[in-house]
Amino acid sequence: MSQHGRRRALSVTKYVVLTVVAVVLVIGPFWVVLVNSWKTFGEASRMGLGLPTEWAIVENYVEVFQKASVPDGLRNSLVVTITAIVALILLGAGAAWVFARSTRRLDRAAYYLVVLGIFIPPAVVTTIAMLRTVGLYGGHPGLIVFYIGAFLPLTIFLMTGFVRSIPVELEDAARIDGCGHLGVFVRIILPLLRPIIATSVVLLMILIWNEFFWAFFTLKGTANNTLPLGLYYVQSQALYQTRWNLVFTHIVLVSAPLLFVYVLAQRRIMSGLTGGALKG
Amino acid sequence: MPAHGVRRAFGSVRWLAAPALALLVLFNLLPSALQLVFAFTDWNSFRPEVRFTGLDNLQYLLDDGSLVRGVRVSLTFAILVAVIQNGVGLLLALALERTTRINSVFRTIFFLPVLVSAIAVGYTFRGLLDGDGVVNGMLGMLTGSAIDQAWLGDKNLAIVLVALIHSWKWVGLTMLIYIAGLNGIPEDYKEAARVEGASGLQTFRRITMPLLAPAITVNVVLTIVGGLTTFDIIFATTRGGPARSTEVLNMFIFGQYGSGYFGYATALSLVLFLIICAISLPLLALLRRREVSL
Amino acid sequence: MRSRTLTMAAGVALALSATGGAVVQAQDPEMPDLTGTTLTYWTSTTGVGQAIPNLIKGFEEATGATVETVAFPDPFEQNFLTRWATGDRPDFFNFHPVYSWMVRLNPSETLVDLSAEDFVGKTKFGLLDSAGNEDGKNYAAVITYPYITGMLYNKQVFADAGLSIPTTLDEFWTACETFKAAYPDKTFMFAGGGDLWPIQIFAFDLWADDVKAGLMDEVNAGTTTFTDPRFVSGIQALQDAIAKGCVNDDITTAGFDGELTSVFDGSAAMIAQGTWAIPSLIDANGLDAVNETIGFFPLSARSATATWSVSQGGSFFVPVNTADPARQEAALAFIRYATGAGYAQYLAESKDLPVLDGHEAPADVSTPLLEANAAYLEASAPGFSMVIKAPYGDFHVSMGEMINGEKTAEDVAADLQREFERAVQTIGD
Repeated sequence: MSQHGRRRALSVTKYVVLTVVAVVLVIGPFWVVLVNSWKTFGEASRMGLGLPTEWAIVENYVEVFQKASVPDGLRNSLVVTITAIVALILLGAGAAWVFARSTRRLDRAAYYLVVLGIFIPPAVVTTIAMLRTVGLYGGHPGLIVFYIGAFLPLTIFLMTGFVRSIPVELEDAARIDGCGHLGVFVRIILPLLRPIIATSVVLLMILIWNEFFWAFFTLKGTANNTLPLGLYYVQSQALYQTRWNLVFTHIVLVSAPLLFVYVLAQRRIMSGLTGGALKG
Repeated sequence: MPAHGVRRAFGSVRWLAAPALALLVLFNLLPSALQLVFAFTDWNSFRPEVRFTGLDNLQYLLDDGSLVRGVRVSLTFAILVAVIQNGVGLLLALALERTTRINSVFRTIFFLPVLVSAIAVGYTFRGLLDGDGVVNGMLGMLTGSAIDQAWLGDKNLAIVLVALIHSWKWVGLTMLIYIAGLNGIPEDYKEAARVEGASGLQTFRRITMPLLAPAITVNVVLTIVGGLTTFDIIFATTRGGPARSTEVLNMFIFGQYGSGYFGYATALSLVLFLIICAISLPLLALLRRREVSL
Repeated sequence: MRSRTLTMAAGVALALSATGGAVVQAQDPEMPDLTGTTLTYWTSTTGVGQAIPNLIKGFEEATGATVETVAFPDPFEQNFLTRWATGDRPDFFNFHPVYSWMVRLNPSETLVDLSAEDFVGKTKFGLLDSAGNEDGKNYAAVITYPYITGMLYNKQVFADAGLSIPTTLDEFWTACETFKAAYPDKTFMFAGGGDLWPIQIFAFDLWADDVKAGLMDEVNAGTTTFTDPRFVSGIQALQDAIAKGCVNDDITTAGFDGELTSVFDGSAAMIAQGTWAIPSLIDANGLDAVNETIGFFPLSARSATATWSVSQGGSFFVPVNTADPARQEAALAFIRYATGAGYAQYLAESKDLPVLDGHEAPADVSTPLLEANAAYLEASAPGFSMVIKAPYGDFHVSMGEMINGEKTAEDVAADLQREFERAVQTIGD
């Protein structure tokens, strides 16, 4: 076989292997969840791969929608996620601007401390105690503040590198034109940060939307539950046997928003993550 | 650059960082520091008073072996996850390095698990690995006899399985970071090597790997820390069982907190915090040193 | 002073949170008008079937109140305590009316003292002397009959195998040998070790003799520890049962539902369980089938002594609500309803035996429950957790480690003792 032919054969083999792996290991579980969310309780318990013999798609989705307060969960997740992300972007960009432009030793040190925070997660027990002390515990504000504290390091890190690439001349020019600091920030910096903002939003969305552990500790009252918390309650309603058909239905509903957004913005997300992520 | 002008204008701009730093200090740094205090007290839910007890908490957890076990399980899990995620992630990244249409499709597919909540992933695999689940069904078809092994109930296998599940969820992100790193290596370098007669493997070892160092370090640190701080997947699959073989530190902390032993829970948090520092700080220092500027 | 600041910080961290809510003046002390009031009720997801939810509904109808039920999934106690620890409070809740659990709630400061309520005098068996009792004050209203633990057995299988009911551990072993010879494919005692909690029960049962003789007083006083052979032998018995082949092969992975199905369909002769399991058996198989198939016998190390306990299912507490006394009063209205006007309906639905004076047992109480009750009245001891003065750690998890070969019975006992001592020290009186 010629060199070219051999490379072709390798390439084909590679894609065959990739396809098998992708189908069995990735598409497979997704399919099991989806198809069993269409089945009745009894059939779903066997968790087969086949299509339902008895379609229960309407019953399942209606039941989960009502019992698991999916609309509430969706609303709560949206409120928490969007607020947190907006705050993270604005606050993070502000801090990044300062860190990127400053030459002071103190600021350099602070920046390194902040970057360290990416890898070191917040302490649950003491952070909750802090939330209680300032009176923010229990509702969405507390959780939002928790997320801001937890993800600012990552946001600041992503943005600082980008700000450095914005020429200072642009800022000076704007100032000469009479812009105040805030004006420079809003008119020059933020717009030029658009690519990294997009990347950050995507990353933060993935991290915050699906977050369970901290939400579990920080939110009180089921009315405040975000979607992952709702899933936990649905799964645990079982007395003796887990109602997998309903659990899978809930999983579909919880995952759908993010998957939907992803499908829409897919190309932008991919290029953002592969291109922008490491520019720090 | 008119340095003087920048600095003068700059002075009053620094308040823009203030809100971020305030929140960061209050809800991230200060609580982490407070661990250093409460970990050495008997803070609990039985009585409102709190007393200093020094090293008693840690002594107790050492004496009954649970601290050592928790650390061991957590480290085992983290190392398994780091190896699996980085190994598979790098392979996938190498296979899908070029940004073609078909590669984009595969990248998307492998990224999907990252988008699903960990709790959902946990429940899904708990169902799949159930005695009556799909995995057994398929194994039964392959081997011809009925299999009803409760996979997650095997005290030796459980930790490996949950590590695989965790890796399944996150490998897409590792892959993307490697792809970004690979794409950042100029083709000229590899071309030059090929022209000089280097084989694919040699090119990989001498050119690609060193230039991939930053991505490797980031991924290794992220996967290890991600492994050390895992909770959702274990909570949804085994709850720390069977026989505590999957009781990672966060699971243990949850148990202690739920039993009312807040001081002990904080002490465990502190231990986890120190382990993470002990691993990330040296590795990050390594990153700085190995950074190859292009 | 350093510790004062800490106390304040921790105290604030654990302080009650203010709850707002509609306030309605109660006019009729018997059945107040609570229209517009919403009460939050915390319970476990594994409750007592429909009877309690229907009791709640009855209360809603009688008073116009709305009750929002928050059900904590397993691990119930941990989830509950995690939420409680952050200062979150319901208006009333289910919890174990057991000193060693209640102490974690700090009852004297956080719970309403119910000692003056009517139901206290009407509760039978002097139950409230121990259940829900701390320092002589009653904090719980109990509407479920005590749970009685022992063996639920398949009468047909026993008959077919020619077994007589064992009354001591030795007789248990003998019966096991006989059974294995007759039915090598069946299980003598099925245990759901995968769910962990069921495997404690065998030990609890075997300890009953010694508990009755005052063993727990010794433990509470500190004159003996859990590593005493009287405890260890009870723990060891399950290991012995595994070694002798008297339990199911898949004990480490089987679950509670496995116990129920196997004892009913006859693949197992008995399960070490309690009367709380009976409603589930009835739900799955129907009352008549259960009456015909399932029986109960008590078993302890040296005698046929049953063990009783009161669990959270029908035990109600009311947290102190200084911020909104009207809501606290509304919650108390529920307590009075549950132990008063609503009790009869609850009995009829749950087919439970009455625990309050002035009520007759429903006509169709199941056979195993009647047998258990007979054993309870004849010879029983409180479950050790009813009388222990402090928590004792996750016994079921240690038992799980034992059946998985990670620990010995002595290790399990050592775990118990260590955790007990830690709790005693933490409670610190």
